[in-house]
Amino acid sequence: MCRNLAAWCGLIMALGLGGVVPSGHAQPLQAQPLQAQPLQAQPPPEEYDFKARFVYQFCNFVDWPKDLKLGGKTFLIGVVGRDPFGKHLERFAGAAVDDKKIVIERFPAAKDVKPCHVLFVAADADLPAVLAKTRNQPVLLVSDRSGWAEKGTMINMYLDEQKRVRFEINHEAAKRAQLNIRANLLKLARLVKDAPEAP
Amino acid sequence: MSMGRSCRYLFLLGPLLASCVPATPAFGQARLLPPVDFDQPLAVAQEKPIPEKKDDLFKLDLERLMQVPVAPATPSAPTLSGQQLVSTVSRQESTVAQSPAAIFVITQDMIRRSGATSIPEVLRMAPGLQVARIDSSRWAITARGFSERFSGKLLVQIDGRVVYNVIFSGVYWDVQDLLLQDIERIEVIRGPGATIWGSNAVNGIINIITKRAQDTQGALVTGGGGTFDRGFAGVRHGGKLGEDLYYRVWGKWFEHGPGSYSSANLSGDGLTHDDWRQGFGGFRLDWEPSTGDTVTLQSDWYRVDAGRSDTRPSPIMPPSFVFNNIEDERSRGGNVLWRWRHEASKDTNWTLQAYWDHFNRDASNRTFDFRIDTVDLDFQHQFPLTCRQKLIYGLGYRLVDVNFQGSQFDGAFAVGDAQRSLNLYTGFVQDEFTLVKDRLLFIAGSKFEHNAFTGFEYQPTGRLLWSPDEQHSIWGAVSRAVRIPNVGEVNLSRLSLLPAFPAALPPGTPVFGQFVPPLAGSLEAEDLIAYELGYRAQPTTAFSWDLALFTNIYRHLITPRPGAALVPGPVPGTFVQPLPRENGVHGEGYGAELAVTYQVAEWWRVYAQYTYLHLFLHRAAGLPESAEFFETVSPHNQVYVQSSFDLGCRTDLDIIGRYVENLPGFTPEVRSYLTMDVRLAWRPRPNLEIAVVGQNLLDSRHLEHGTSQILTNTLVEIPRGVYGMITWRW
Repeated sequence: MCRNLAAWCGLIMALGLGGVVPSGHAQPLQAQPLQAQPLQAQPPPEEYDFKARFVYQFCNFVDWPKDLKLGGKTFLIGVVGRDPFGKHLERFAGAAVDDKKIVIERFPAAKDVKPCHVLFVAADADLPAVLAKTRNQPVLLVSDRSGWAEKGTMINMYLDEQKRVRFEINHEAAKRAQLNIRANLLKLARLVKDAPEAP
Repeated sequence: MSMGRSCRYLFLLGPLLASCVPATPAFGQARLLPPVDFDQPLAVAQEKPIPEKKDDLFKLDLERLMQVPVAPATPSAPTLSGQQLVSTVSRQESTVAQSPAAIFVITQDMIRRSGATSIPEVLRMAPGLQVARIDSSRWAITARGFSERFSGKLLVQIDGRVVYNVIFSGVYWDVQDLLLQDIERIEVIRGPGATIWGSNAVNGIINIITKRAQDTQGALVTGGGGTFDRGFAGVRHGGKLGEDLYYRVWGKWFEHGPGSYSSANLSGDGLTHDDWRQGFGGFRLDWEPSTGDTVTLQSDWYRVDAGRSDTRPSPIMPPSFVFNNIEDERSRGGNVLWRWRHEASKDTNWTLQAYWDHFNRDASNRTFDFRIDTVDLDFQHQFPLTCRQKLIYGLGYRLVDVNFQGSQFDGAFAVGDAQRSLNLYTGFVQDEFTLVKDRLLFIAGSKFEHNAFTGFEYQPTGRLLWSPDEQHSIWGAVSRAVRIPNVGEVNLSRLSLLPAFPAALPPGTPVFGQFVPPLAGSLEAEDLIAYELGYRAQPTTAFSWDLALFTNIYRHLITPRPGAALVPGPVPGTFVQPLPRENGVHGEGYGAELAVTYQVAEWWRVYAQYTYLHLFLHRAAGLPESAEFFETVSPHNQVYVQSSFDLGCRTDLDIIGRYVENLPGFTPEVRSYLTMDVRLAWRPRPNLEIAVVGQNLLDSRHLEHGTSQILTNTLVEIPRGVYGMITWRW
């Protein structure tokens, strides 16, 4: 029995070693620049602090139709459902996107949604209703719920195993909404397509 | 293990327990989100001072943002949230709210926070399941009654691979393991699911689904040890081999200590011979060669050694005629599974799956050695029939080759056929009909199969789901399911010592009961008609509940019948009473299962589950009372309460209370027990977790299950256990 165990320990070690080596190449290199920053010295940032930054960053990688007369000099970011960001999204109010100033608005439910540039669909929102409400309008739908990009939001954020924020893009959905997502953003994303679902 | 560091947090336990009802503001207020002002006019927002210069962090570009791990926000009550993804009910991805079945989903987060180190322990949280630990490595897990190690009315699948054993239709839980961190979710369905999954899915289905290789990239190392879970270690590495080709390899080892002799055992107190060691390893490859195609190849291999002790009647061992069997069971096995899923268009997809599973068990005393090889092919195809109907059908073939290569201790088991190949042909069709969009859904379907024992069987179902609004849904179902006789019932003859039957013989004459193979074709499948009703509600985002009620009508349950003429045994002076099996028992089962989740505050969540079950069995004339054994070996009442606290400072505390009512059918009776598990975990970094877990804390040891009707196992009490664990990912 002991010999068997030893053999298995060996296998596990082998697996472990086999696993450690390749991953060691890729990640520390990329992570290093950040390590110099005070950010890493502190406890990890809150999830929605970062997700708010991502939402802001997304705005800079998307082109809305040129003839869109929405908001005048304001850039409207809406949140439908229970806002998970707390104060974090609010910090971007007033920041600029394409010379427009960000204004943040919250909508309790899909029926309350008003036209905006970006709409964050909170996890408890009724997605089909939001999709119906924004159909054929140039609204960038952003979400952070598993499977929602396939269901029609254009950008869906998720955490990978190392708890880093990642996002997937449903390019078809963006095209349908006449939104142009720039290649630089597409490169960083996992691309998904519409889920096969009966009407 | 940094016990000292973690122990600092234990002082929190006292005040938290004491102040369970009134919220403790010290933790609560700090983490509560500011109230959302929905009426905030645009003008006000515009007047906000514009930041003079952007925060430095604004400048971090996306690529760099993507390198920083974050502290995940508290998952808000996902358990019963109707949006939870499930695929067991209709073999296609749907959600709990859309499922007209009693389904419960155990997510990865719930597994982690349960403190469980094996799959059976994880299952304790599911409503409607009876989970009893027989000894260190053996479990009796059933849904809706018939709680026995060897009872088989439950279908268990791991990534689409059926893991129940055709010899006795039950599951060898000691060889079903995974790196628990790789599990995506476990879907537990109570009630019949045979329409799409086939026979044995009588009282329930457990479907264990592991993560895709894409989702397990990077490395993970975990390890720890303690008193009962003596030591364990696991490694996993995931990477990318090509543009769309991902892999992971994993390995796991553990050693569980033995339990304690029950005080009811004659042998007195002490450690039993049931320690349990295993090594597991495997890989999974996921490849997306083109849009819409996903190809998966996975394989797991294991070696498991588990000690066991039981007493076996032996007509060749006078004068006691009892063989005290203490041995090691050595299991070796593995599987290879290949699956190709193609999504042809938005509504049309098909899946082709094939696997080979090998299982070999040797016992050190050669009591019962066998080998099972299974080859399974499965195809399913889904497409829209009309704009309101989705049709799914499937075809399957399974070949099971059972080989009893050397059961040398024939005193207990005598084998009818040394080798047997079983062919199973199946097909199913199910139509999902949307009567009113988003409101009323009707599902009808049936499985048809041809098996080696009872020939043709059909298993239809009809299910209706009504969702008056987003927050409520009511469902009802009527289904039929069968359990086909197994190899054990048809091919094995088994001896047991009969205490009661002989009448005309002088006292003290050893008489053995012997299960004998029935005449070909004389056994029918066990049959269930189930009526189910369910109500799910999520009145607020913080509170949800799920109730399921059922009535099960069982017919043709298989039981041995004494009464045939005695025949002389192998040793002069002994006699054997042949016990042919027949479909001699019918009965009813009634039950209610309630699961409630309440997010009391951002940092505090309570999950509770209550299971009520009552079985009534009726034996045909001439059968002994033991035919109704199962009536009294499943608990009538079970309660599970888990209180999950996020203490701040990246610390989680989970307190689990479990109550299981007594089982009077066993001799001696298994008393009711109330026990508690506590898990305290601290994440100094997002990718590093240190946890201390205490299990079965309220008593030093307790009995959870009695001795089997089939095999007189030593009663083992499950001890209190404490272990520490470190998990590191990068």
